[in-house]
Amino acid sequence: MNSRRQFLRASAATTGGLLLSPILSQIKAQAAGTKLPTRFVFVVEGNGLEPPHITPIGYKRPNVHVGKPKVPNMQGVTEMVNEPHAGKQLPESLQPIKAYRDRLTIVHGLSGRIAGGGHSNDFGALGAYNCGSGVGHSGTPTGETIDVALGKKLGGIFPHFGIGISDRKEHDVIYNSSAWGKGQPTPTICQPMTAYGALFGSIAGGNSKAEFNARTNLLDFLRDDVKRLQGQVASAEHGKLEAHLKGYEDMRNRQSRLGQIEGTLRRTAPKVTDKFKSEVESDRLDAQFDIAAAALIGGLTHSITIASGVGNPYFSVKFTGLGIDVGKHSIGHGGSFKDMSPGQLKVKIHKFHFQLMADLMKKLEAVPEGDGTMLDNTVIVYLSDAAEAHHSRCGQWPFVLIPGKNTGLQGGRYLDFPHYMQDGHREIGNLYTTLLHAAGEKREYFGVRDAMLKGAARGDGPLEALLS
Amino acid sequence: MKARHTATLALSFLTLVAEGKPDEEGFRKLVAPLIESYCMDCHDNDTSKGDLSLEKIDGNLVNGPDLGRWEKVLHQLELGQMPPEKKSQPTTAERHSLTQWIRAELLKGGRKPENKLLRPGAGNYVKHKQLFSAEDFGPAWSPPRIWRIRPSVYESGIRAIAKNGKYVRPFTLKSGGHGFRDYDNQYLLAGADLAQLMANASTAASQLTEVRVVNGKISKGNSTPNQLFNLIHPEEAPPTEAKVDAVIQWLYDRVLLRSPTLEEQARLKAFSMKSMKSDGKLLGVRNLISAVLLKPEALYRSELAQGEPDKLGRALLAPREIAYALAYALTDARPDKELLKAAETGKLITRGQVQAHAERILADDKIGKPRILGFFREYFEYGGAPDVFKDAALNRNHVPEVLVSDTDQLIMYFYEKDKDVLRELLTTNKSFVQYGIDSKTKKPIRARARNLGAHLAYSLPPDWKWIPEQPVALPGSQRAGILTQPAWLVAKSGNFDNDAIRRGLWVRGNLLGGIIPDLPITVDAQLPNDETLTLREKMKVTEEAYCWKCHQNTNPVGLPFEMFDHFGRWRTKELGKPADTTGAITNSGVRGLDAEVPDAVAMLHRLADSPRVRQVFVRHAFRYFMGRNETLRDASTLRRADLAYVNSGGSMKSLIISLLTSDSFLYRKAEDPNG
Repeated sequence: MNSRRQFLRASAATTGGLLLSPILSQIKAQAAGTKLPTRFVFVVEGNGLEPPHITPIGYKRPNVHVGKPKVPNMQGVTEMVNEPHAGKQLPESLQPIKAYRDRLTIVHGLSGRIAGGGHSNDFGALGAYNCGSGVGHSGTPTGETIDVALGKKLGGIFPHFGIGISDRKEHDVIYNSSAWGKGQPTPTICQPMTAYGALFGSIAGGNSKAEFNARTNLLDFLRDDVKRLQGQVASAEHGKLEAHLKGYEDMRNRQSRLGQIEGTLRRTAPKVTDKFKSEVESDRLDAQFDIAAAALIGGLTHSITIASGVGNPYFSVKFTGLGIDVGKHSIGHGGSFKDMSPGQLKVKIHKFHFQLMADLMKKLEAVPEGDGTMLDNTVIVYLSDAAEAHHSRCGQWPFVLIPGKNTGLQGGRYLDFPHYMQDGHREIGNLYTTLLHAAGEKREYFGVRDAMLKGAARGDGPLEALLS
Repeated sequence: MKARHTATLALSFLTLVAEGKPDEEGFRKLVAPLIESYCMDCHDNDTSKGDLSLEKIDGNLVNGPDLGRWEKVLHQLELGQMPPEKKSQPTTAERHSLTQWIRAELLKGGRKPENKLLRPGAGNYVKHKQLFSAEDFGPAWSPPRIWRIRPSVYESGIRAIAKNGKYVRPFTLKSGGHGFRDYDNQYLLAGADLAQLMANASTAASQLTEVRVVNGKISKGNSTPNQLFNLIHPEEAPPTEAKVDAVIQWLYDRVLLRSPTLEEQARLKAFSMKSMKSDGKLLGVRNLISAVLLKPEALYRSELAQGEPDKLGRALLAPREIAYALAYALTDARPDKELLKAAETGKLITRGQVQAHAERILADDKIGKPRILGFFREYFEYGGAPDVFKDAALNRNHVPEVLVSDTDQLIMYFYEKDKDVLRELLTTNKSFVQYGIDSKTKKPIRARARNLGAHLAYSLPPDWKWIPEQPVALPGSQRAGILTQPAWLVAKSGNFDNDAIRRGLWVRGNLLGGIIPDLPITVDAQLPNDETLTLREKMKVTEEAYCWKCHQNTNPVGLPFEMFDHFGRWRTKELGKPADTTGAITNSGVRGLDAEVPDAVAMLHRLADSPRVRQVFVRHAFRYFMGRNETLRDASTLRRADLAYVNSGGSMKSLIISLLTSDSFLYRKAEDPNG
């Protein structure tokens, strides 16, 4: 049997010296001893993630009373728990990823009070800061979010790609989850077809190559147009046109790079099926996961966020495809449906998300990379933008991590950090710092620290317990 | 008595950077003495109030160690928050030169500190008393600007050229937060917006170049104009310059509403010829269409005023700029034929000419003017009622969309009457109830609602019979204007309870012109979750000294609305006890206005009589129609607008016309007007 490296050499030869696809260049990099990039997938679900729904059976997390006034929705431990969960039964929500349990790490006890709480923390969930979302709408980002920060570090034609679903079917693009920097939200594309067009548009349709070239010519003209105007406007207005110009330049640059990997795009583009245009939200979410897999495999991006009904007020998705004809907002307020309690409904929806993650993992596992597969170089992070509850208070913020074995992060662990205000306590900013370290960026801290935490209840740097 | 510190302000100029040299002399002669006189009482090393000492602050703002501290100082000075009111104040000129100096020095080091005064919602930081005093701040102007068009304007523009395309909104207006949405400084076109704009342009271009083949015969598509069809058909015919010129002219007429200059014509022709050659004729033509649709001129409103400046250094907007400014101020459409003709023939130059067109547009019922209702919606902030989630089990008759539409109707009713508009909107007991208009017959009908009890929000009897003759009169003891409409009350409520704090914030900011700083991030802003307590009781936690500094300004003017429940229904009891609806107008800064009030109705009647409230309303109208906050430089515009409103007996139209013919609207000057 041929070794994979030999096979690749052979296949490169048959393509007759065409430009290397990202997959091939990754493997080439590997052959040359360069580290493969770590990929990050953030799956963010609206409406809160109650800690028991991801806790393996048998772990105790008693109620906690801290703060003046008391921080609500608080359970946790006073001493750090850090052990493999191998002997414990996984809860219902996590059953779909049972086959990957040795990679699965559950993280409890982190707080994110700085984000403010409420129905959604919007940009603050991935930013570890307060974005002033208030009631009804999603505020303005006050800094970059972790998914984008990782994407910037890792590069890629699209440094970050945000997709998802909204409770309003007419939404094409919304801005409430990820941000490039202060005041610079990045889009969450809510229609699979729009997302598909953005990534694979250059190969869609018969006349694609000519269209692609025509677009390049157009971009050159547009760029020139903006430059001409720059000379005429007052200096205070230059910033606006600079952003405009940079937008075109980035597109032009991306255009060149997409042009070089046409073959890869053709190989990796997902097949467009009815679910891409479906009226049913679970179908569209399924399609978005297909797109995410293709984007990662095609090397178009290394950081993806899939936002399933994130942000207030757009999180109240009705999962009719799962037979649940009631919005998540109502479920959050204790609404039941047919014979299912709100708790059961929530678990059913979480379970669906983990099923989609399991499907994604299978696809990544089928792509050989280095000594293993692409899944080994991928970290999946699952959280809710509303932390621990429908009306989140963020005294605890549960996470599920599924790190690949080459990512520098530990799989198979159950971590429960000491609760809010207790010595040894840590914040979501520490977790995000850990992810940055895993990606090779050694920052001291990511986000804004909670000023109420003092002494040993607060700490800089990554979570050592998570680093392998 | 505390010893005065003399020149102990340290200065170090060890390194010079390429961007510029720190202004040592300016610091010594101008800045240090001002800081010494106005800041050192509280910010020396001994006192260092707010953990800020300026005693040894480094005067090197280019690359010195104290840049963070300087930014803090700059913000406080610009917002007029320091020195505190009771301390001696620098003159306007001193404050101006100090902030200008700090800004210029920071800029040398490549830092561009935000001017918080320009933020939507920060307009009230400009001192009301100064704006409406007799003090002369000189003639008004706005800075030259480009301003991204609104989504609705964009959509009407692209539909005007290829109306049936399936377009996606490439950008939105910000929602939430305080202040008006369409400010000139809030929007950029970048990244995803541009990608979507290009996709839409491509959709339009495909439509405009559609060719049909029926029974082997080729004909043009529905949206394809002759000029384009002649160019693309027959396919094998080489393009001629004349045909390309005709297309360019056709596109300019419709997209930019003018003819191309010779230079523009030549450049576009060269581009499209080249693209046709390399990409094929059809794609080249489509590129030409996209190139015109995506011209910055089609995406930004341009108010550059590049004409000859007057002796004050101000230049009048060009006639075409005035035409666009007027159209976008009042409508979501581009300027109409009359405006364009006036601009082309030199009849849109004098104030009188501008006024005549503003009056014409306002008077013409055929011209849609969504901006009028838009102003009131954004000012009163009631449009968000449907976004406040209410548990259906608590009130099956709650239909927030109908409530919002009823309030829209009430506003337009008084706008049309155009008499004492603000007073009516703050005091009327009239209301529309479940009022709709049949789209076919144009007659009033009962608006559709899931359940029969939508009228219960207005505390009408359950068996009340809907009538088409509206508005109806509700008891004057229960309702007084928009703030007692269920739409407003719901928009300013929580999921389970009233939100007296946000109601108070609105009254404080939008009627009294007061300032409430942002919530400090260290504050855990949650009321206790105890169902046995009334809201007023829960709000006791805000009376701790640290919280009360701000809450004294919101709670007393927010709690009188406790005469309603969180669905906007009038009530006399809360949790089985008589509802406490008392409150007070406090800290208004206006002689004779502060008073205790028994409920919201009494408070609103009192406020409606106050000239301060009227002037604050005028300030808000200014912001909406100018797309920016007022500055002291705009004082003459505001005084004139207020006078126009008063002299016309409270006519909103007169107020708008005054603003649209003001110097602030018509003149530009390339100098930061925010000093």
